Amino acid sequence: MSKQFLSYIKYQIIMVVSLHYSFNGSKQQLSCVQSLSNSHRRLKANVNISCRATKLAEEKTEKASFYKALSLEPNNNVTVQEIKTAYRRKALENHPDICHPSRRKESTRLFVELNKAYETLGNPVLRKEYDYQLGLVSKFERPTCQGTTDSGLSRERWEDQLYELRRRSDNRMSGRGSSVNRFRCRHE
Amino acid sequence: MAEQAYTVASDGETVEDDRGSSVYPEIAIGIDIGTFQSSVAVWNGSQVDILKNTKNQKMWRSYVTFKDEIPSSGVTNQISDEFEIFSGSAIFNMKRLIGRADTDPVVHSSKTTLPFLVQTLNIGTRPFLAALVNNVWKSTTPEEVLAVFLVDLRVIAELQLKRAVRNVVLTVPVSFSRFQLTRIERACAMAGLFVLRLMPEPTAVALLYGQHQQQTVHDNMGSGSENIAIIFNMGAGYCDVCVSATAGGVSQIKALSGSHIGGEDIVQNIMHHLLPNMDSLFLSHGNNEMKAMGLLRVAAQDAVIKLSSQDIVMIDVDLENGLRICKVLGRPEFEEVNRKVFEKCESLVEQCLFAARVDVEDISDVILVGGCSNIPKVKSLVLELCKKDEAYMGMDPLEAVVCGAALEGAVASGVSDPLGSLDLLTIQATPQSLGIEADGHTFVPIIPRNMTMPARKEMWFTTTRDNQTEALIVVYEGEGKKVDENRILGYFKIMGIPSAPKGIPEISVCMDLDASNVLRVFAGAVSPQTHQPVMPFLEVRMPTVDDGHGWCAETLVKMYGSALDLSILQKKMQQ
Repeated sequence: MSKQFLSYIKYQIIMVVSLHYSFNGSKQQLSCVQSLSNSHRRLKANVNISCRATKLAEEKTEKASFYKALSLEPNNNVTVQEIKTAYRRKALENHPDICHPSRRKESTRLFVELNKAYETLGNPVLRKEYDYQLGLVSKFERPTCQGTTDSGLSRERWEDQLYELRRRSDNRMSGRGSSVNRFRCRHE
Repeated sequence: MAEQAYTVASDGETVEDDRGSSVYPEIAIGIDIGTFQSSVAVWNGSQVDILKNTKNQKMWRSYVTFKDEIPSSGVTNQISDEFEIFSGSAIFNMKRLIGRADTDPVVHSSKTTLPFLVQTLNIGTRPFLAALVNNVWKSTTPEEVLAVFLVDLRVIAELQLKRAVRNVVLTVPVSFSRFQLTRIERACAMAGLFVLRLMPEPTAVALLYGQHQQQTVHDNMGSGSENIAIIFNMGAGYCDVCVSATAGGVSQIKALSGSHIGGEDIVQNIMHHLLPNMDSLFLSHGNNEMKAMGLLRVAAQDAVIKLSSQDIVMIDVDLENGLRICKVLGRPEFEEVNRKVFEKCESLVEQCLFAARVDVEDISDVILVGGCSNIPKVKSLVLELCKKDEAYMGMDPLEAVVCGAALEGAVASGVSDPLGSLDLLTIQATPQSLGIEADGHTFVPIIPRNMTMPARKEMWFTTTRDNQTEALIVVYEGEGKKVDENRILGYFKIMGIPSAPKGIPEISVCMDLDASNVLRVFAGAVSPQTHQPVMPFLEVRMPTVDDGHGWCAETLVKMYGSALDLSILQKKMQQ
């Protein structure tokens, strides 16, 4: 993605935002530009899919940032407890609720990144997969982490799937319930 | 919601003066607006103080009487007897009615059980509300009533704190829609208050619990193990459940669930039980009917309260005009009459535990708060579901929410405590799913319920017709599978999608929810070849429609059919 294009888009967005600004009276310029560059980053990742080599190289630095986001050394020996503690410590540093208002935008971005990292590292299955991608564990060894054996891993995955199925069926059920309610209230 | 959308400038001067003279920044006060009663608390520098009104009460009845030209509220008004509240001149239950359309079942059930006028035309607009003043029904709105109440509340707070009060943290039910939140903010603005934070009630309790934990376990942050608490909050108007994981003063909200059931439903059920033909009897809202309704309501309320401490209650009430109710009501009968309410409580607890993915064995504490947590059946059902013998003892069930709000007020105002008792944080989760319409009338959540806030998530969509160049993004909130089961928040059109067979164009929809719960939707088409935006993206702050505008969705369908529809882009989903 060329720099030229980026600045072009920034220009475009500022135009839209100023229109929006005069219309709405809100001051969202910065966040908008920021959002755009974020979405750029994601777009960039997509472009790279065709080019496997670049992707892997980039992934490695990008994904190591999950550990970095939690201020931890990329190491599969880090315990779940350590990850949780690190998450809380970083949350107290970066949560927009307790940061100075002038840092609000930045802290929001940092906290969203922190959450993304925690979602992966806090989940034993996702963490294993990603440790493997980082080359922290070799797939063949599959060292047990936190007493999670292979069978434990597959059980976890199975539980995940079960959870998802139950959630969907619950959704359907509640969906049915509320449509009945709607019907009732319309005809009252 | 921190944006200064509705601030009232009238008293800005005095605030500035006060700020100049005080060393500390203005500490936001915590307000718990209840359906039945409200309270105010503030951090006094070392602990939380609950403010008392002129009658030395901590809990102030939530109502406003429109007796003379000037309305007066339950904060300062000296009501000699309960019946005066039910004479038609008082409006209460604002929290139940605010931000609801006239098709809402909650509004419907209020029509014959509340002793003031609630008129519904059943077309999805706002209901008409009126108080009886000198034999004339005078119209008002829930937020106006709430604003009058808040003004009085503010006066008392300013008198006691000897300073101007402007910033507030307000607690709200989990099940409140975005429209209801907007209405609450509007009422605050009308009262000259600036809402620093609207926090779901059980999360305020989670914050207080976090402080308790920190005081008991001095081991700061480190290996201090995580405590899983389930918080069950049931008041007169709403029931909320929350599961939080707390360690080192940080409470992470794992899941939330809530519904508009509460003590009010229980009272209404008892009223119906005592007088089965009540609905037809009271529909006319004549003076006699109003009086009878008031008498019946007081009797029902009394019975419910007494049944919390005794097994049986004797009801003897003369409704006049030859109507007299004499009845002995036992606890089993009471529980049978309210079976549906208790079943709903159970399902809320189960739903919350399931969504939090917590085993009941891992729960450290069951925290029961709110007026209805005194009802033996409620207590036992929650404890049974959580397999615990006893509830958490360290909190006053009526004061926990407002104390939590006051703590949040101090934390959000940037106050720090040398003893570290304000090193607290609640990491909030989204109470409702947010998404858009796609694949027919399917609701596609982009930010799901119980996702950590602030949140940002992107999803990819595509066109449903060949050479479709425009697409409608219709944003909804709710848990229904179909969009018409959810609330429409707004809509906008993206244009300039490159002509291509259906399913080829790539449309990105990104939702951004900041820490103040402000929702922004960011959308645009991306060229599949170059992966670059074909047109500038659009950023829209939601909601763009007002409450009572649910018909917008139907009108959109009428106008455009499915010409501008979207569907999920499958190949992008799999990446």
